[in-house]
Amino acid sequence: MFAASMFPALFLLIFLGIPVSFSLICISFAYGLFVFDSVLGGVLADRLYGIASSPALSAVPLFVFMGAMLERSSIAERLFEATQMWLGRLPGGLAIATIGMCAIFAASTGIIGAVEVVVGMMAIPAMMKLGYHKGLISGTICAGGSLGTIIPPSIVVIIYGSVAELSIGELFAGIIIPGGLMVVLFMAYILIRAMLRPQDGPPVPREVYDIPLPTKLWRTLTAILPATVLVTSVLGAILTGIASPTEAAAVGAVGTIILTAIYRELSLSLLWQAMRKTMTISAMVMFIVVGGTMFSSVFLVGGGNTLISGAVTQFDLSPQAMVALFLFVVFLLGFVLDWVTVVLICLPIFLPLLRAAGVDQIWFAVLVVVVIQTAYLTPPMAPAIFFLKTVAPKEITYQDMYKGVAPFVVLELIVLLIVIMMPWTATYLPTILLGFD
Amino acid sequence: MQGLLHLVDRLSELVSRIGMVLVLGLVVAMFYEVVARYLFNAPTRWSYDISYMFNAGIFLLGSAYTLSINQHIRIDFLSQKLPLRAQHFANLAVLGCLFLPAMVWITYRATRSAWNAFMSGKVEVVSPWAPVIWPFESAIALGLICLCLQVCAQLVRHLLGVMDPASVPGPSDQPNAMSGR
Repeated sequence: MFAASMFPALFLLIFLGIPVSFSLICISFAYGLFVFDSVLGGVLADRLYGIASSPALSAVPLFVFMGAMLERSSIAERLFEATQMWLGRLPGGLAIATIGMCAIFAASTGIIGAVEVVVGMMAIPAMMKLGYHKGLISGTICAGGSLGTIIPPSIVVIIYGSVAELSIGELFAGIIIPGGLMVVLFMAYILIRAMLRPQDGPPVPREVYDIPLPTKLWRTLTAILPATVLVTSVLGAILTGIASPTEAAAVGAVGTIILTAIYRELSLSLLWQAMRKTMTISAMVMFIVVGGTMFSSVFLVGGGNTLISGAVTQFDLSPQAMVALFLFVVFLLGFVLDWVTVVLICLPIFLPLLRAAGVDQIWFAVLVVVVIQTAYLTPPMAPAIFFLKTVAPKEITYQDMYKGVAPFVVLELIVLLIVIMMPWTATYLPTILLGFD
Repeated sequence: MQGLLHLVDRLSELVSRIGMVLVLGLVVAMFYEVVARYLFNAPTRWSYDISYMFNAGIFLLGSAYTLSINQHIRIDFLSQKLPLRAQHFANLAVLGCLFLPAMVWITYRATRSAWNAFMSGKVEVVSPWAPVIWPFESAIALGLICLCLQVCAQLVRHLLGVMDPASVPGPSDQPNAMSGR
């Protein structure tokens, strides 16, 4: 009972508005005094050194840096212009272009929220001008923003891999099919909806897409191609096992610097801002990792271990029921907490049980990532909606947003079901790409 | 008092600049390793150690500054409904009674460890590069010391907030967040 009471105590601090990472450290300290007594200081310091000495986690600042650079360059505008040019004439074309752009952008950054804010600032005014349905606008932006979780490189996956001691490359490979499926479903939904209800998503005016082919190709070459090459080479290097995620991330970071230089936007102040943003985001994320690691070691040593194994024998859950229960817990927690904390407090408890039950680790990881993404999008406490609120005009109300994201939440649940029913969607690519059995 | 608080903020900001430079350092070092290994087939001996050392430097040296601009994520949809004074009190009590003692203890251990590493010239034994370990441990200690000082500064601010909520920014405000000078 002692160990179990750590959770309500943690939630109390978190909901009092104490920074999440600090709450984790506070509870580890308070409970750790009973468990470790006078050696607690050394134990907590060891956890900190453990995280500080993890080479896998150094991919985090590198991917964040890549995103921070792209966010400040004009790459997003260029992408938007170019995707509009190709997809704009379709019903709902602007929204489809937005999803496509989110997918490319998400593949170049691990920062959750960044994709949504950057894309939202450009795409919302454009869609408003064409008279798009406000719910469709909100849903598109939120759903597109949520792709940052499921399209590699995702910081969620890097943290997950390092906590669960899984290959990050394998995990990246695992989320490709579900992530791609999600993009396709989003686009298909928008297309069908705009065909059935043309007033929801009218096509863009002629002059946007009716331009000479050479101009079109040139814009594609300068806007879409460099970003796509950058993204595919970074991911390709990781997926084929040529480079470690950290090395590939460094190449991507250098690539973005070169790209901004080619666009003549590279300046000391841009670089400085990107470095500062990278540092603060890394500090925020890594401190949660540190706090979460302290929390779970105090929990496990303080009786959590026996608590968990006792619960399993007592309830005698089948592996299927166990997976369902765990995903539900992740969803509930993801509803109110940030995802780093969810991963860090859930995994140490779930993983030993899942291993004992013989559940495929990659498959489960992919499911968790999809669930976290769904929680990110699900009202009322959806981070996606909070980010949207920061860039949306006043005419778009919370009502529009809640209604707007609902169909996309359903689509994500469909992807979740598909991955549950057909585990190969998550496990096939890791086997062929990285040659594991 | 305000002068002292300002001084701590300034220190956090200055130390964070080392962390910022390490961001670029990490990019360059890892890129160099990739070029050296894949193009010239001459992998470095130091890249493995540099990768985690720089990462640790980035997040630890940046932690105090991140706190000073209130970027350590808070889940505040419930606490925002409390009166400002109560919010400040909650932060004051929790950070003062639990977080500061925990961090001071950890910082003490880290500082002692860094000092011992410096005095003995200890090297990293598992690495082929075998670097001396004190610069790494000193960076951790420096980051933690600054974080402790910044926590103290925040405690003073929360105390001022309990007395007069209008005098300081609320716990959910983000002064100059992400403006990134």
